[in-house]
Amino acid sequence: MHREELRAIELHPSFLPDLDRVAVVLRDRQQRGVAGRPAMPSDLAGLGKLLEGATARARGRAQRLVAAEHESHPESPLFGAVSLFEATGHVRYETAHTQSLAWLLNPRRTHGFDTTIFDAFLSAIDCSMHPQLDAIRCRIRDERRTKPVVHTEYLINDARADIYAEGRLANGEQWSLVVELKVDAIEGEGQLDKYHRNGGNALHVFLTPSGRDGTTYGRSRPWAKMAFIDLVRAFVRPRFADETKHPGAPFLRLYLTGLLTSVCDIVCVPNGDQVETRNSPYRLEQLLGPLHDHIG
Amino acid sequence: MTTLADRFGRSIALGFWAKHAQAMGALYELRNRKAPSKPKDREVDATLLNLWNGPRRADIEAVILNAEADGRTFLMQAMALCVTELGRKGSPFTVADVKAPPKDPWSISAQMHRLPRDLQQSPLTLSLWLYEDPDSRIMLYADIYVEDNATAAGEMATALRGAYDAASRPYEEWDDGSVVFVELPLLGHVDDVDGAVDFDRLAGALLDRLEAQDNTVLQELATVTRRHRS
Repeated sequence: MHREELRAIELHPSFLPDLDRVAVVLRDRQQRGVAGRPAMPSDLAGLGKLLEGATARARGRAQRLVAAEHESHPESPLFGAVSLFEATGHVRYETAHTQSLAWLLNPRRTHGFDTTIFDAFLSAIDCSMHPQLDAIRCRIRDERRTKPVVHTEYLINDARADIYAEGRLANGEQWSLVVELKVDAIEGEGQLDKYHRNGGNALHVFLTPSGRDGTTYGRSRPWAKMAFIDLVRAFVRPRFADETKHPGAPFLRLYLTGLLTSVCDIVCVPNGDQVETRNSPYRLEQLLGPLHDHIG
Repeated sequence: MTTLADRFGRSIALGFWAKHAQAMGALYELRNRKAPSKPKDREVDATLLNLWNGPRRADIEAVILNAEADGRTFLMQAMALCVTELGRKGSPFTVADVKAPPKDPWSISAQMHRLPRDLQQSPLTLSLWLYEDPDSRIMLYADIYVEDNATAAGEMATALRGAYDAASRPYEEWDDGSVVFVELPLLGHVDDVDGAVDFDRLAGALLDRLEAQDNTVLQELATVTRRHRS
């Protein structure tokens, strides 16, 4: 047993009576040839088999999920060959990520998605750390709200938030959405607190590859969080097949393939009827499981 | 259906140890000393030393041997439980190279390789321990740390500061590059009737802690190790 150091120790009065009782049990086991150990696999080979079995089951399910996605959505960005960010050399360049996302969220741009992508973004926000934020998210999702006005590098409290959206609710109250995006960098000192907007309809979202919680906001200024993989899952399902109505569809596909390959490390390569993937089955489960909940 | 937690069993030897942790810790040190114990040992209470040198020594050694065997077997099963749960939660790592040190029955460790696997990249180490803490409590303790990479370790501690709530010591500074995931006192899982550690209950508590934790800690670890890959 690992311990700190030897110390002056007094025996507890129950030590010897307890030792008597335990010794009887252990002697009895020894006489009966029972090792006194819990009944369970006792070697590492057993553990290895357990691990192999768990991994094999996960891989099998991931393959079924990928096959289902390929069959139902062969045009899915999951099977795309071109990453927007690799093509432009901006894999880890946060400004490129910010500008691309803001362009898609802005209903006034020329992509033709109107507010579909903005609403999908709202649906992907994770309010689990601060459930009270979910009510704000629901109010902003209300279809009677005005269309969002989306800004990038928006000045708040002498700091520049990556993305800022605002508008009016059906009752005329103002709402706002602040998005801070990180690809690799960590937060600056007190960074998230600096972007805080007061008001009952202000929602703050911290977007990262892992979907981690922010580290630089105070308890009274909560931030929701979002993982890029959840953003991809939310954006991948609206289908924009008619490129005359949705001229931004090709860009959206390149963007999502870029996030999958460059940020989420998910690569699936169609090869005839099969799809080759070298990814963690658990990551594929995270992406595709909710989209194919009928797959066992 | 039989589950892992149904098969963990019990240990009366570890239950005794958990209840009398201070005394057993000292007796364990005496047992592991190479030189014979002498009454002039100032660090050990004379009563304890007399006990060790008296007729009950065989019983105490039987407790130690059984506790070591039970502890090692439980740690191996607990490691399998951790790996299964981390996988279910979508860990971006694959766990391999499980090792139980041959001369140390109180710990087990496994290497965590980031996916896709890259042999050029240092793995993280997931460890489970049975440990006597400074308050003489026997604890089941799980942590993850970065090995031989001081820069990554320091950066990891900084990057993970926001995930305190996912750790078992939310208000303590983390050691360099080490994340404490689980810290459970064995005494809280000792059966009132026979005094045995109920490993099923302990494994259940371990699973509860793992299920309750936000997986962002692992995701963040992956980000840090990826950054140091290039």
